[in-house]
Amino acid sequence: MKKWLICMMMIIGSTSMIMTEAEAARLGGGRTSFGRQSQNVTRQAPMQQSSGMRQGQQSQQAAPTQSPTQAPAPVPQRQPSRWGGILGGALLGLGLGALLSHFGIGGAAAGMIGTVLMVALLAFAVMFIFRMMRRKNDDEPQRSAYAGGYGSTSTPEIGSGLAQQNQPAAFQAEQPAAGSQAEMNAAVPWGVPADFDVPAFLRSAKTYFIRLQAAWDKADINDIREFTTPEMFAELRLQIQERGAAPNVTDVVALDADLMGIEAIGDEHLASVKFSGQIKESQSGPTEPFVEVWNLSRPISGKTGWLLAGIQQIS
Amino acid sequence: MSRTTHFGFEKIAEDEKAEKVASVFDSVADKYDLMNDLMSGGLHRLWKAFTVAQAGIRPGFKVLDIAGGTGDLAGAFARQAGPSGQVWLTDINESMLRTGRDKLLNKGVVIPILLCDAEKLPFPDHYFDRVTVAFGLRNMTHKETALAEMQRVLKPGGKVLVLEFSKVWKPLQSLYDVYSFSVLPWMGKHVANDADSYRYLAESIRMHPDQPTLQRMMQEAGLECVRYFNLAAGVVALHTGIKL
Repeated sequence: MKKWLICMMMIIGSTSMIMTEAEAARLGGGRTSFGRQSQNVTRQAPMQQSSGMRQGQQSQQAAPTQSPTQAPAPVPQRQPSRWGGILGGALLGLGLGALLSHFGIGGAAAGMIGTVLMVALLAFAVMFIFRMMRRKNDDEPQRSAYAGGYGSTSTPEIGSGLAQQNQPAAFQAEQPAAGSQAEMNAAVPWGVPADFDVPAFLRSAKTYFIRLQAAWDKADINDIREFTTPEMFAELRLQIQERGAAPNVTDVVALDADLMGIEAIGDEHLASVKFSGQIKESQSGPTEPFVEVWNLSRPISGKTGWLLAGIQQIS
Repeated sequence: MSRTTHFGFEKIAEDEKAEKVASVFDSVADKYDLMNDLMSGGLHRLWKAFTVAQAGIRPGFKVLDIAGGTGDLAGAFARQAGPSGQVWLTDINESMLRTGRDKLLNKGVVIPILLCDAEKLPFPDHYFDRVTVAFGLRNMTHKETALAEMQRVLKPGGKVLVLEFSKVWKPLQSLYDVYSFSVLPWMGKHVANDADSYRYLAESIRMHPDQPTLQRMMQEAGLECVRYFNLAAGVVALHTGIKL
């Protein structure tokens, strides 16, 4: 009985050790919310999940209003999708070429084969264009149709997790909890002034994100101090001390940012930026999707720049 | 106005070329990646991957990507050079750099990005371990000056890599002609809505020096051990040279 107890203790002990190791992750740990929190963000999350249940009627209406700020995003996101087919084709072509030269086919015969290959390449290119054009034409209706469980013509072979997250609404309706990101995309941002330069702000926000992750990995206290509020800095410094000297790796593989809204609290503006994408939290670990909201604050007087005031998880 | 240069098949005054090239790239910048995939059937990714492999970047390297446009090479280099390295993305065209900056940010890469003329590089001598130019040399007005500049900023022992369209293998020539003078402008017209830019592309490829000529130019610029690899039967060639 005693032995059994010790055994259990050891198992529990070792699992908890593994868990703490897994938690040594990106800046903020990726699992807890801390620092300044935006009420709007928490309010929006459940509301949107219910809208997902109702076959996303709301997001369907909201989609057009959202599209101006969203405009640059879809292009890079969809890009990975082209990889699969093209790379396959290209590899096949290369493989064929290597095979031919390996068997020593040269001169006139090679000319013939070259011609055939070139024609095949042309045909491939033409097919590709047609697919592209069709997709372009579909683009507009698709965006609103996502919500209605349409989605079947939109190239289902797409491999990237990023594209998946943003895509099928049919899938979303089945699992509303998992699909919260796409719904969030369709939300209307709150309190953003009309003359606010959203693309430039989001660009800087992404730079902050990447730079702070790098500073976090290196435990570069000074760099973290420069981009965080004093309260946030104190919290982060504590976390770094807890982490100890162990090296940390955070590799941002893909990053997308969305401005959820800006609100005035006291004498400060609080901007909530939703980051999503793919992140690698250890050298050899898997690339995992992530979504989290960073709350950036700036005094209304505008004396200083935006500082990271809090990290908020939406789930 | 006495000196002239090529702009595709046209002959124009030297000081007009940069402006004309700029207008071409301003108009293609946002569809650049899409068109590259279309026109090369995705092969450009392999060509670039080959260039990255040949570059052999190690952590801590200083790398300069000239005419880096939308940042395909620079992004790959940045990951290899790591936090201790330095990768600079430069281009003479602002629209292309904007596209590149946004694309790199979306991939989680933050590197210094600089708008500059490859013929007047704002870097000290002997600074970089690697200097690369992919599909950019063709558009430069004074290729010799640009190559000499690359040689200047390179550290002794450093390597220059020039990836550029080249002279295709003879048996494929006629087909390649049909492809580049009929299919390319057609694609340009229907996809990017800009036939002229893609006709310029095809013409400028034809006017670009072939493999041995470029090899000689690089040797004249002071690079040693200059050699080239033909890719896709010479549609594209990668020239490498070392500064000793």
